[in-house]
Amino acid sequence: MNIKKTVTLCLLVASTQLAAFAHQQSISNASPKRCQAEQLIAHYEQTFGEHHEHANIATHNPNHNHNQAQQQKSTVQQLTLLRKGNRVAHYNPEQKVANIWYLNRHKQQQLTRVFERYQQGIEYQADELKAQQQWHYVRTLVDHALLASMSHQKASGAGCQRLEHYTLATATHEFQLQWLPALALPQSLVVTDKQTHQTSRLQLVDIEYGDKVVEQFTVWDALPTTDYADVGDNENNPFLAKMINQGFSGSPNAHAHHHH
Amino acid sequence: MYSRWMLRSLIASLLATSAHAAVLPEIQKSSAWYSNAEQVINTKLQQNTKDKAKNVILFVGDGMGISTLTAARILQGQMAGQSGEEGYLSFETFPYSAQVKTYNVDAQTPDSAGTMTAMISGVKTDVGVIGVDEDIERGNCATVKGNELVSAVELAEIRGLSTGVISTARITHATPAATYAKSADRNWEDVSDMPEAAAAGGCEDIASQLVNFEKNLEMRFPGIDVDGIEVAMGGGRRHFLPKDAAFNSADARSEVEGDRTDSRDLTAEWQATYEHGAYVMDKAGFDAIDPATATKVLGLFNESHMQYEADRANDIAGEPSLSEMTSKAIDILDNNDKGYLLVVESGRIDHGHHAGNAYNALNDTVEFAKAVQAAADATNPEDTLILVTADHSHVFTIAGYPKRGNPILGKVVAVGSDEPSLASDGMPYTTLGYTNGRGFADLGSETNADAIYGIDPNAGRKDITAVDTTTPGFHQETTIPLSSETHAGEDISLHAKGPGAHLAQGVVEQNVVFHLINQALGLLND
Ligand SMILES: [Zn+2]
Repeated sequence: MNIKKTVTLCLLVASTQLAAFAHQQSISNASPKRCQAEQLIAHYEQTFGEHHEHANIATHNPNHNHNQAQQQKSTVQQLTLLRKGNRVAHYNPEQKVANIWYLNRHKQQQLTRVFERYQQGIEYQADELKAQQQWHYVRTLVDHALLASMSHQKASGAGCQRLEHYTLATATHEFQLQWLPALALPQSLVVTDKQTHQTSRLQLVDIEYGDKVVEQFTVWDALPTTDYADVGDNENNPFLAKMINQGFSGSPNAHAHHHH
Repeated sequence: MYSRWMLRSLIASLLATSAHAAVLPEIQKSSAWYSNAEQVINTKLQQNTKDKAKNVILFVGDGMGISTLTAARILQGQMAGQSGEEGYLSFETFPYSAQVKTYNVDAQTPDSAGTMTAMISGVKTDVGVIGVDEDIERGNCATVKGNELVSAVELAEIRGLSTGVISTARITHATPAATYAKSADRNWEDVSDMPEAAAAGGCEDIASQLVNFEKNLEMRFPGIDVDGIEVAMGGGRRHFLPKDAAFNSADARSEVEGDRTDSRDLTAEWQATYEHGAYVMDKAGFDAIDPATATKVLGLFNESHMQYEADRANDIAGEPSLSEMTSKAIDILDNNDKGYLLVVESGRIDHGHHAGNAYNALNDTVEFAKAVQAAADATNPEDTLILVTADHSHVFTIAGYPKRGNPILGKVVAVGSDEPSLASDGMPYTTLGYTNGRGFADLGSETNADAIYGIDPNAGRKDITAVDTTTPGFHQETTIPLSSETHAGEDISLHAKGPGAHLAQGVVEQNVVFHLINQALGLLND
């Protein structure tokens, strides 16, 4: 049931072949002595709307305008995941916006959205209703329901390097996941739309460990924040006024939302 | 004068009855509409309201405009299985009311800081500033000195009355803050919210002013001896605690609950000042307070704002409701034979509206009306003036031609129809709507209106054919996309009962509210 939702999710997180090459070097170079899954910085590249090579087999589909589809440019975005215990941040380096989640001991998820350009943040209400399912996505970039519904194909490597391959085909999409179980992170996730033959990729490019994670969270924590509920009463704050006039761009937790 | 006028009215009505009674057809005379309305006038003719009160309770529904009252009144009735339109919110049955102009000195559409300063000090001021006059420059600490106003709460303290301030918002939020603090910016809730120049320039953050209220007042008026605010309850713990996880309370939802960067723990300071006082942070602590013996209470029930009434059960450590806080406060304050002044704010009606979520705005208004009823039940109408008002309105409308008894949160269904009316775009529409804001969202059973802030604004018409618009998580459609729905500039209402209530009449400036309180309590009499 969550699969449909997950597709949208995966379309938001995906990568290029260049990145696929890059990751092979950096992963091996940066491998930690032991698996430091609870304190890391994982750099991802997401590619949307990439046209898959195998799509050529679809020329018999009369509804599919192949030339037009090939002209579509794929878009590439960077995504950095920072993990420090029960805190996780998703950072967009182009927009300089970080969504920082904290899972408290009451299993509530508190979200703070930091706008580095404005040196300010917005604090959202702790979300007590859907925390557990959401948290898996927040922490690993892969929806729990998706992972649970995939079939394990093969595995290679051992320990921190162990890589598991999962696949899933639904009526509309094909999913290919290369999963790093020790880190609970995808090395890559490729989603192909069976109709349009477009793929979205999420590709691990680099992983860092050590104090840098702590330092980054400290920098974000020092920024002043405003409660979500107070935005409406703060027309005179230029940062908030900009948001009031133009709306927030992007949604902080739309792909982590599971209603119904 | 008063009684002569009354007599003349009586004679006039008697004459009218005898001379023209025969003109009225039986269906008109025997109509319940007719006789009920006649009874209203007869009751008013017998009113004889005194001028002076022992106690005053000022209720403020933040953002509770007229359309909010009408819609909440209908919702309240419908929740009780009635049509809804014919009922009244508790305070709407009060005998006196006035229409109140809300603008700030520098703003056509006001905010809570300027409006509450007007109500509690008698002087209109600028938007965004607390307890200071219009000569202030917002955000400039240096302009505070010499522009501080004295609030009715301070005057009541000086006269030896007991005082209380309650809010479902943070207790440092604009409305409650205006009762006890002076600040060049409403957002200076703790020291970390202030520019360095402000802290260095000797300006004190709002939370600190609450804790130092007694000391500061005695310093400003040498020779006086006050005993401090007896009851302060609301949310906003973050502004009282150091930014250090070691100070987290059991109720903390953030990794570090406190925001203060000056290492001060104001809850500890308050307890040191009032060693017989009770600092409580959850429902259990609240329940344990014995109002017969309690002399001082500081209740901080949430890290930030308290929950919406609909969401209250979801609070980690439990929170009292607005009516529970009101009842307990009166129980404590009425131990003082000299009387008391209590200010009660429902702070989250405003937030429900800002989120474009009528359900929570109205549900909190219904709870607010319960709190007013609890106050009316717990006090003597002969000695207690109860004033119920708002600070400003919202761009919230009741529109279309729904039939009588149509669910107020529902789609418009016309008179004689069972199907939703369709707009010219072929789609149904709700009775309630907002002119601006975040727009449509269907979050189903979500009781937290602020969940909407996690979703992109979605203005314009949506097909709601298959949507249940009466659920807590439904957010009404809007026309103008904004990150947050806004306040509105039209007048709001003031309802009054008890000694001095008859002076609430006509169309008045908002700062008249202070003078109603002052007149009733004689705060400035020698
Ligand atoms: Zn507001």
